[in-house]
Amino acid sequence: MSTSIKLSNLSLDFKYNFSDSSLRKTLVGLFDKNKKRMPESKTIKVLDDISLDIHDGDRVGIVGLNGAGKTTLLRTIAGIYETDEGQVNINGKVTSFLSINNGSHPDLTGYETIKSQLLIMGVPFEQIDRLTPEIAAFSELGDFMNLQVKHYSSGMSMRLSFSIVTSIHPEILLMDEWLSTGDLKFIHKAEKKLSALVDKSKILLLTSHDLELIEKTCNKVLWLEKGKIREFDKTAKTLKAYQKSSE
Amino acid sequence: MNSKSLVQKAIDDLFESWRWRRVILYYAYNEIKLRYRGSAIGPFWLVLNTLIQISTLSIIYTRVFNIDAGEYIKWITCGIIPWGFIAASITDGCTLYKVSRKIYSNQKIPMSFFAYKLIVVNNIIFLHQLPIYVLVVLFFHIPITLFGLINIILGIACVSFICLCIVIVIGILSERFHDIPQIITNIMNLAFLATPIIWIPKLIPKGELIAQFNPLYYMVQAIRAPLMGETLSLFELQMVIGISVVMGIFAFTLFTRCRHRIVFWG
Repeated sequence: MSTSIKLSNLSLDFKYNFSDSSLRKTLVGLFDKNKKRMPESKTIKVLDDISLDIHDGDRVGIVGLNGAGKTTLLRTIAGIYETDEGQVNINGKVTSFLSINNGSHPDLTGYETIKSQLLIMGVPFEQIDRLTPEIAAFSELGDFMNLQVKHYSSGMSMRLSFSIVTSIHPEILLMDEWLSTGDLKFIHKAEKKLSALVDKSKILLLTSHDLELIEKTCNKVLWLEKGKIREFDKTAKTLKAYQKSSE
Repeated sequence: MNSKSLVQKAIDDLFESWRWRRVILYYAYNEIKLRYRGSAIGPFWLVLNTLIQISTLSIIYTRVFNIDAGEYIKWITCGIIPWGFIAASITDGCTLYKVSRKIYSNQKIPMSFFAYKLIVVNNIIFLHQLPIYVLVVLFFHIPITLFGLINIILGIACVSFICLCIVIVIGILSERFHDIPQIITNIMNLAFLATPIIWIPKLIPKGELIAQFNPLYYMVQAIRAPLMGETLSLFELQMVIGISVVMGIFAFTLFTRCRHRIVFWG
């Protein structure tokens, strides 16, 4: 079966008054027969009736203002957020690079971080020994690889994370604002690696405020506005409209 | 994806962790290694701490209860090791979904992964303590039979299951209601004194009656009795099974209802 992502009428709500629904109020509410004091949950629509068809070979850039729902959409496709409204159908293995800080323990050394990160990404044990030298070499961290990650500068941590996540070849690749951090020297090399990775993946979804990057990488652009699809079309056309609107 | 019911998704999640078993083992092992990184004697601290506890408590309470030191050392050793297991599971349950938030909010991973990992960690710690128990067996001549060993393993398995349920329940509730960890810390400080670990129920008036109302007593007893070369009474056995069933149903219900919501909380 070919790789594809199909979303139909997808909506997602966030409940946002948790501070109001404390343990005390919830307990009071449980014993309150009139349910008057039960905390009401207020919601905000983060994704609103999204329908999308993405096929093999599509490189989709996602643009929109902060809070438009870009990251939420990626998280929903990745299966991190589940919703009752609408359908998500995905063929292919999804790999998500949503955050550079992905919960690795700061007391681990560089080498240990590689292993634990690859494992949590679902890479089989057998491949880890093979991947580790490549990752270490690409990160250019040299002897620092034996040092605990907590002593790394943010640039060094970023190099390591980047080298780890780009060492595998995903079918469906979701990336959230990658490459916007990192030092200039590394960024050129990283861009090359990234485009090789993108070439190998069958579907790419990329959010970015860097429109140049999207123009270079993507053949389609999805423009989100307040959780709705404003436009989904060829890169040049959508970007032009997006740029015009933000002027 | 949406066609599956929440119950089915919860079951899938619980079983999907099986595919992650090697990763769970690796993460559990790493967690213990990291706890003791930089310390001179490393995980041997686990043994040393327990040894210090056992000897201090023995010096005091053999005098309080005026009983033979051997008897008391047997009792405290066989009780404090399972207690450590249970107490650690309950306290660590409070931060289960807090410390792992970065992982499950960035990629799809079974939510049960973290609960299993915690139970594996506590099992490894439990195994680490066993040398102390072996010393006690040799010094104080606890009869060890094949039947007894099987009982020990069954006891650990059963308590592991109950603790898994507790961890899931506390993990979810703590993430939703930030008062829960405070309440748990409070309860656990008292529970150590209230549960018959350092005191022996039959040696104090109405002691057995007090112990009866404490579910933690049965959990400790499930491991302590076989460790001491005894078997559970029928009533104790029924209680252990009862607690397993009740906690199993409660944890599964809560997990089914909340599994997909945890990522939105915190």
